[in-house]
Amino acid sequence: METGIWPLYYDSFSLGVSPDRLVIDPENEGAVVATYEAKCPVSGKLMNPPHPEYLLQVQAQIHAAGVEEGYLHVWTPEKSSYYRVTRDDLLWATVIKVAERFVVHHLRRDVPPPAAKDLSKEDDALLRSDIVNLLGATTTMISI
Amino acid sequence: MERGPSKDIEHYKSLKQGSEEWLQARKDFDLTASELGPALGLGRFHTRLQLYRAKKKKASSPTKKEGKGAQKAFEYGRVHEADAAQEFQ
Repeated sequence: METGIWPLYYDSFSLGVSPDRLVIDPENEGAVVATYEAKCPVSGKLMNPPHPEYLLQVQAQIHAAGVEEGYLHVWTPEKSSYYRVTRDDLLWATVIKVAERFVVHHLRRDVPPPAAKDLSKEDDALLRSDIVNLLGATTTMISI
Repeated sequence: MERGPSKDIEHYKSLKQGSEEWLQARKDFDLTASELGPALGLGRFHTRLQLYRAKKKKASSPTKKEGKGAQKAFEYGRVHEADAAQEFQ
């Protein structure tokens, strides 16, 4: 099912989430049971595992739609890869903490974040490493 | 401080992705899910600094278009997303 923006509002910032589709259960009054996100790389190359950026997007969709899982479909004209991503509330709490810092400490205060080469020196470096590890643990390649 | 929705949530959910109204409504939020990666320093194509500059630029010049490369990738994804979804079903 096609859909629009599913908002998430937190204490100090808001997140707009647009899943490409919602997976519904026709036998349960059309209840939303999962989210679906398609990635169609212009390069035509599949990547395994998927990039953390894509997995973050799916976690956001899972939380916005209030479901337990989401599907990520990396599509090329020749072949596809499919992944099942499971909800992880601990991971999400860490994501929100780091995202909030970006919005509050940088966007709102007009303070540019440090350049990429200096990221490892930041307080968030350990959290980022945790996030990447946890994202990997939530993702399973599936065949359809 | 709790920040409430500026518009009705059902209105947001009803917007057609890719439409002008959807593109405008995305600006109601501090971040979109596709910006989470760069915002956390985990972007595939953009750094946090690039995202920061892009958002500041958009705020001061709301009609500013994306770069050609980003537009091409967005358009390719938009065109083929329906193919992908059909294959998934």
